[in-house]
Amino acid sequence: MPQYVDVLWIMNVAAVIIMIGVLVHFLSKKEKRETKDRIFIALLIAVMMTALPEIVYAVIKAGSGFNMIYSICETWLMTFIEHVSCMFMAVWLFFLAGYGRAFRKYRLLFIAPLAAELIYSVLTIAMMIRLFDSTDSFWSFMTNLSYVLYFVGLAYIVVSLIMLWRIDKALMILPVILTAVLILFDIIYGSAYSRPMLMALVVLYLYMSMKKQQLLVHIGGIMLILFTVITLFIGNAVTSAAFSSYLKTLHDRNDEHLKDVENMMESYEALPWLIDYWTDNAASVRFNLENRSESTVLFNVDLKSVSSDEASLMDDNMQLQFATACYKRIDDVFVDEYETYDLDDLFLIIRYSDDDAVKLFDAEKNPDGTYGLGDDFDVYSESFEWGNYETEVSEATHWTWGRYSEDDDFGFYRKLPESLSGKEALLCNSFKRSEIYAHMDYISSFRLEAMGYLIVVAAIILMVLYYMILRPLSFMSSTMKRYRHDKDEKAVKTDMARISQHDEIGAFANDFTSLTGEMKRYTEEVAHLAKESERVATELRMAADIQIKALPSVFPAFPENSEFDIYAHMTPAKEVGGDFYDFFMTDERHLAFLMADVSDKGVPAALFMMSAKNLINYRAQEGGTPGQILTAANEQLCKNNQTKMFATVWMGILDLDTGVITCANAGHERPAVSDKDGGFSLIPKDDHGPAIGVLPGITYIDYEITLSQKESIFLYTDGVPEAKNGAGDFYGAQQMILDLADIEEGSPKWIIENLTEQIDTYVQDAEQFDDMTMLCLKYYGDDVTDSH
Amino acid sequence: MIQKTADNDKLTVVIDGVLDTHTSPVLTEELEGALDDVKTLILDFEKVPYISSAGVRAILLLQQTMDRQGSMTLINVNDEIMELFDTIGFLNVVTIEKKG
Repeated sequence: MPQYVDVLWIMNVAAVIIMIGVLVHFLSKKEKRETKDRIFIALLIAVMMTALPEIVYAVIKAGSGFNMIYSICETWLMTFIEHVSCMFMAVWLFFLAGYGRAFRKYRLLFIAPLAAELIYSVLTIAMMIRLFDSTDSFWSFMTNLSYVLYFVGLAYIVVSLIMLWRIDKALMILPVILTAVLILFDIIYGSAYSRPMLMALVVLYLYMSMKKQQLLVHIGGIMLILFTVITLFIGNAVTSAAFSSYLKTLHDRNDEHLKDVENMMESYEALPWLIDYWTDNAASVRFNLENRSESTVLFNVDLKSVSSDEASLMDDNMQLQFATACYKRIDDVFVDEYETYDLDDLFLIIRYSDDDAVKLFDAEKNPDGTYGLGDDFDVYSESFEWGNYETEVSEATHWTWGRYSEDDDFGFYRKLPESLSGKEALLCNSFKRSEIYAHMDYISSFRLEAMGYLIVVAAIILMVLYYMILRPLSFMSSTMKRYRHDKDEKAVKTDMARISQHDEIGAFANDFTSLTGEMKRYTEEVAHLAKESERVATELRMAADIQIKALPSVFPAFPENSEFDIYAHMTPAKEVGGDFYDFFMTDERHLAFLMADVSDKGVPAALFMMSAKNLINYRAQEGGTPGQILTAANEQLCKNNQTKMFATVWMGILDLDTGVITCANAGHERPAVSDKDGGFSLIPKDDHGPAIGVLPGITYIDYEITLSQKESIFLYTDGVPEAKNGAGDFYGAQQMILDLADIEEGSPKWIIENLTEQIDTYVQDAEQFDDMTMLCLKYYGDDVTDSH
Repeated sequence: MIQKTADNDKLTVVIDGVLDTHTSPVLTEELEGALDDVKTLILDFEKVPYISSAGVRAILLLQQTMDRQGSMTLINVNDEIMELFDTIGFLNVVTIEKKG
């Protein structure tokens, strides 16, 4: 496997495969696609286009050593396609989302950055194929331009997103997340290298949000952010630690060699004198070294044991020979140490100031084979940094070590004791930074691996979450949804039994199962009650029907009698009520008629009404005055009337020959009587008894009303004056009398129908709670001229 | 709508609102268990603007109970209700004191 095919590369490829998979799956859906779906597809394509250069780059990097393609890919292909695809992303978004018109309106926004990008690309390619020389200033111009263009690209995306926001806010959310994450990662990594992987995560995110796996999406999102941060911190910590320890290892190793050399040098007793001499007479010593063999100046003394004082007493030639011999011996040790341990560097310099130093020893000879003795040591041109061990270690961070180029040397030094040299003599050795970089490459791949492992861990956590919580939850959710439609609690029970977890989820499933069971019982109960109440309502309707049919309702009621005309009407309220009227002939010349109102409403009132009506009717057939009839009926009704149900009754018996009405009142509203002119008025307060049914032993007193020809009597129940309008105001007996008087003279039917109309106008749509019952009797006597 | 104040064997009931088919059962229920040791029942009609025949029946039922164990008086009854009791003819059955 090529070395560039690393974890990240594999993940990138996997990412693209995921995206393609999702796209294929999505496109194979048969249902009609909505705008949201089109946007999703657009995003997916755009994202894949962004990922494409990464893959191309990785493939070329892995498979080819051809520098040209490599550089083009690195500097041009990546940035260009990246930008264009970013722009395409927005364009696709507009186009596919069905907002073509909105896009055309802003097409300049699309063309401008594309043109800039093209110009930049042409310039870059021209430079690559050496159409003109690249200078430093040109390079920095190009670099700045690329940054500008990159931010233009980002700005373009932001503008596109703002457009989307203006078109439809909901369209914004996904691209915003995408862009934010992209920018964040670009900032963190300084490159788009991990983009495809990220894209795949974003795509999965989008896909899952469309599949309604919202919880997984949220947890996944949070984990993505957390793991990124953790990876960054761990990565930096690992890098710093590795860098420090590696640097220390290098330092310790090299320091050993320097110590060896130092010890060796210190064994020369005349070292201070020698250093002075080498420094002052560098040219002579060098000449002597390079042109004379050592044998000509052979000393039979131990060079190391000669003291500085003894050396200073020698004559000039002896001094030169001695210094040369010592230099040669020491230089040999330098070379030996350098070659044995394969050091990068080993030399000794005398430093006068930071930028002024002279070389004394150098294990590496000059290219022409001459010694480096006395050469100026230029800190800057040698790319040599005065490596302060402590500082370097403390700066050993990801950011710091990435700052230097790989060709820079990194040097350590060991200062010879001042007493030995009298000058600042630095024993130096260095190593290439590339050595550290090689080591760091390993560290950085370790970091990527760690990231990979973290992602795997995240995936495992998400999977566990999915299987333990989210899948059963969404399963329950869909079960509930289905249950809402089909109310099939048996299916729920079967389904929920499949969730066999013994935890909160399992408990929830059980709770839901028992809830549906209770729902079923409750529903059945409600259905039963509804049926029951329906039955009761039906019976009540029938009861009301029977009650109404018990009242005479065929008009004209007595077509054979021209002496009078009678009409009555009841407007029932919602419930079965207690009003009733009745009229019948007690003999050929007498008409009994009555109006009654039973206290309260409902079935008990209706029963009481039927019984009262029948009692009065039967008793009336036996003859007697209304007073006697009511007295008798009262006695009967009072028996066992524990409920204190009562009825107010006004009853009259008309003598057809005379127009005299013998009447009695048991707590009922007084009737209104008309005169010849049609004006109505309530009769004066009568001598009435209490309502029947409550007080036994009452004797009702008769009184008389005489109707002249064409005069009428009008009976009613309290439902009429107590008819309410929308504001809650009563119609009132006063108004009733006025309205009656306003009605043109006519038959009883005419009068009642007109009055009903008046009342309807008054109450409008207001619901009435009491029956309204009216009865009107008009007396004609023997006047046949205006008979009905 | 019903406020009860007990004082030994005297119970004062202040009724607030109309007494009709819907509200009368409430009055009956409220007082059903409260009348056991009551000798004097005062029904304050100060805040009753209107009473229907169902209300009258509820009063009659209370009257029937109180006839067995003491007395009942309606106080602060307005003119309309007085007239109703007059019309129905129960002025002699129930003890009523007019408003004011």
